Amino acid sequence: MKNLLRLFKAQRTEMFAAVFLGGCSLGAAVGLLATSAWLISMASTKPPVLVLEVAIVSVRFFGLSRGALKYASRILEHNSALKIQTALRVRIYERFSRLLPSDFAGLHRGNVLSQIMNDVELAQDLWLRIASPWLAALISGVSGITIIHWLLPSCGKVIGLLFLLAMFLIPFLATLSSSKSDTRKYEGELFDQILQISESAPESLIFNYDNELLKQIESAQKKIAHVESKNAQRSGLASGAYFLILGFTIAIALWFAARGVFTHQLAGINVAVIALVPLAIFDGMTPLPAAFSQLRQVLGAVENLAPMLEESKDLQIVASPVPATVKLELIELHPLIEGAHTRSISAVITPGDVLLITGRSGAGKSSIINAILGFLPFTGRVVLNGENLKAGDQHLVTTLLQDDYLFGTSIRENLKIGNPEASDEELLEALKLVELDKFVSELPEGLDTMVGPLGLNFSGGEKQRLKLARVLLRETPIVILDEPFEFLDAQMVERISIRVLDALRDKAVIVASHLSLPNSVKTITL
Amino acid sequence: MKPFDPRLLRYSRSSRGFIFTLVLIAVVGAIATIGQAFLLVDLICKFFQQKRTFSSLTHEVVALAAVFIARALLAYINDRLGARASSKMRNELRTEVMKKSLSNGGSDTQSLGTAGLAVLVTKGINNLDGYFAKFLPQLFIAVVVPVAVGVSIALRDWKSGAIILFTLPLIPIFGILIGRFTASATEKKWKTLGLLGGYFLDLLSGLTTLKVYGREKLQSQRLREVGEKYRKETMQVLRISFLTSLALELVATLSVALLAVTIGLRLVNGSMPLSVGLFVLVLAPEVYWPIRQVSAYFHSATDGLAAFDQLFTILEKPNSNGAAQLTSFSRISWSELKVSYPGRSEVVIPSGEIEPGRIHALVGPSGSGKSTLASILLGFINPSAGEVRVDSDSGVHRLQDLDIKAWRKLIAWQPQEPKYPIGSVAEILRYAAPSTTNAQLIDALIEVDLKIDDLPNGLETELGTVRQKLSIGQMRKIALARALLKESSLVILDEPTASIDDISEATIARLLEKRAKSGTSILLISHRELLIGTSASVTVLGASQ
Repeated sequence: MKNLLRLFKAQRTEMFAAVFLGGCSLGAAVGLLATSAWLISMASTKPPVLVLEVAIVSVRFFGLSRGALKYASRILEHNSALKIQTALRVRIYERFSRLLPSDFAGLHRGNVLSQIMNDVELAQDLWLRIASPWLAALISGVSGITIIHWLLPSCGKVIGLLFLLAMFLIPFLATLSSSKSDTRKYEGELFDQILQISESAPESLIFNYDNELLKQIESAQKKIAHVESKNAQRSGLASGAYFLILGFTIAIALWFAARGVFTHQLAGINVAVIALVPLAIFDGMTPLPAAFSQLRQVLGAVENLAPMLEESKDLQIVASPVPATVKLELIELHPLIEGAHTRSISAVITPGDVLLITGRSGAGKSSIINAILGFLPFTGRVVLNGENLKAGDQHLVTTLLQDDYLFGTSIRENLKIGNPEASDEELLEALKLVELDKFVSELPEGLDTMVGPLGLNFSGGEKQRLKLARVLLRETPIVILDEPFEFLDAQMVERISIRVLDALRDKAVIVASHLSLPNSVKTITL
Repeated sequence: MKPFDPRLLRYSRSSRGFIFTLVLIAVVGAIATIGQAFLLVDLICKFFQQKRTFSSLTHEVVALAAVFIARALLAYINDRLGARASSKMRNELRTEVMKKSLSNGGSDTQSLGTAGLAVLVTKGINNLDGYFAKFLPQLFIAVVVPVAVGVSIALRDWKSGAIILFTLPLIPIFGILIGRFTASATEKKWKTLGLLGGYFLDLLSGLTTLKVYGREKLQSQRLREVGEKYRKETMQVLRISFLTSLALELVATLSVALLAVTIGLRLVNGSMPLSVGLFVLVLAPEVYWPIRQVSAYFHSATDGLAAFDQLFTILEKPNSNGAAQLTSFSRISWSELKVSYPGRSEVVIPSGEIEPGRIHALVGPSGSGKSTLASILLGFINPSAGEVRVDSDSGVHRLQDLDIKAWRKLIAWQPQEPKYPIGSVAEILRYAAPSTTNAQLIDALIEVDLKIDDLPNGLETELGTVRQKLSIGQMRKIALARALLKESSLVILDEPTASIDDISEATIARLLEKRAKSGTSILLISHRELLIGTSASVTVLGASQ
């Protein structure tokens, strides 16, 4: 919460200016109603037109400024909200990027990311939809009550109290016993179920469990509908209370006005002002019932984001100097995975070596790779040039992971992650090694072709080769490849593996694969 | 976009009742507002002009209180009914889309991505709320309520009624003019906004890769820049939308001002009583308000509209389902088949056939259409040219003339990347063969060279959960066992031995030969020579390249 407020703080001038302008716009509406009520009442007493002149000018002023102020306030408000959103995203990203990969391994599964996305959008509602309208309503209320108080002090005091009662009672009713009013959890469940259904849709049709899958989402939908109905009940209760207090306030205002006229404390032409101004004062409160019924939801989002916003110390990774030569030793390396049977391996790899880790499926080839990279806990040691491999050695190791990610950007940008300085020629050179150069240059947009859900529909083999080309672009003394030749046919594997290993001939290479590789390769079979 | 799309009502039956209810509540609300204005003005005039006391007017005060109680009840009902109907409508639409998407066999996930579909069906449909819970009812309210309020004004003062009649159309006319002027600009903007918004998600999804490449630091500056760009573009769209409501508000204010000037003059020269003038002026803004609100809601409706088109592409995909019910078949053959995927050259599959009880292999480089042929035979995609024919006792049928459900009952399939629902290994295998004993399941797993001890909890090992403990090879073996367990006349195996070691491959080759001898046809997609060696016939794809 504190951290979120800190992000809000950077925008506080703009935010408070927006609330002030919004309050003034509502205040202008109060002014408009008050002056026009006076004007009409005055006109009915048939005065000389000059008497009305000032009121006519004020009506025009309030009428025009109401819209203009609202426009300015909304622009400022949304602008600062978007700035806060960006700051939130950057902060979360930076926080995650400082974690070790093993700490966010579960992040890209299921709804975790989409939840973060939604929460970032929801968190700003704490200001935008809840605090800011309440404050604006307060400003306009104060202006209206000031007018009434000036005309008839006793009435102003009572109406002021009633106004404050409404300002607190409405949020109270809208948030009453709302501990279970957060649909975010169920929406996450639903998201996961839909993910699952759409992934297994083809198989469910062949093996006849498609109806089973549909039943799953019914129950999640029911839970959401139930919570939403409870939220609506509270918001309805608050809306109802709003009209009851408004009605009571107007009745009280009328009573004071009638008595005021009777006792000559109030001029008759001001009766309409006193009776109608409460309508304008309460107008600012109309968004509150619905907004506050979502409070639990918004606070849930804030709570979820809070740990991600904590100030994190920079891990102070000092890049170790690039050594003249490398010697990578795996000593009794044994990855620890609950419930899996893995074994330990030992090996020494120097430039020019290719260590092939092979074995049955499930034997733990990928686990060894993940342990070397520190993504998995392990016993034993991974030693580079006599010292344990550490975060600062990252720039010495290039890795192809099985779930390597292709970004939703161009082929060029994806490859440049391997080497930002690479020229188009160098990119095409790398693509040639994996036999994609022709394919890419024949695409209408060439290297600018987009990858990802909005881009070209690449086949499994094409994606794999794109990732492989990206690995080849990075110049590091150690290269680790996890199942580099998946989804490729035997002849292509033969051609590409020879070319890839040739391109990496000066490097210390570890390959995990179920395939056998050309000669002169150290092999460990798990 | 169209402001009103009748397709929505077709797919969500409850939406009709929902919109009707909301409009009805709005009309009753409008009547209450008219009553409130009448009573309030009446009381004001009696206190001001007749100097009456509060206690002498109890009837009017009680009536006014009743109006407020009615408005309170209406507000409560409106919130409750609104939320209930809206969530019912969303659920209906969601179920409908998922049903359709399921029966399409995942072709939507191909175009959207699985996460894309999940976002569409959850957040996308929730965003539609702004469209159908606010914008759509408001369209109707904007017709009914101004008429009701306008008539009540005209009944008390026909001159004011006439002014309203002439000024009222200005608001929709201005709205449409501004809308036409800005529509294309806004629409283009909304599309790019979607792209920019996805950037954060993309970065988080690929964070492991970025870290492995040591590029994560560079991206936070880029995220800031993209966020800045997003803000500027969003503000351009919002500015247009806010300016539109400002313009419409000014038109409404000027219309009321015009009304006020004539009323003021008539009050000053005594040709109009105060009660009428005040009544007209208190109610006049209520005439313009509902129409202005249409334009204001249009903004929140646009949020959901991106989802709108995508949802209807899924819902309106034709169901190609024939009538012929097959219970058995012998030979499957196909002419040259063509399939086009957006953005890349057409996949051409040469003609071929699968004889009963034989293994037919499909070979060819990646991207040449091997899995595409499997998808055609499974009824997930239709070729743009060419056709598949199935021989049976009742003659030769074209695949598109078959009842797809009955046809799929005859086929088993092992996909390249199996995706399991949440459930134990035993449960998932039993979908394929419901009355199998545990011992038989274990045997089936041993047959595909998967020892039960290799699975952390044996047959009770959970699949399809977030934390997957099995390797990709083990998952494929389970899928193979499942395909072979199903009683079927055709088994389609897509890369059964990718990332499986050579020992298993020999075992699996023997297994397939045995299965074929028992009369089942097998379509085998593989890169592995050993497996291809078991086949009686081969189709080579992508030979021209």
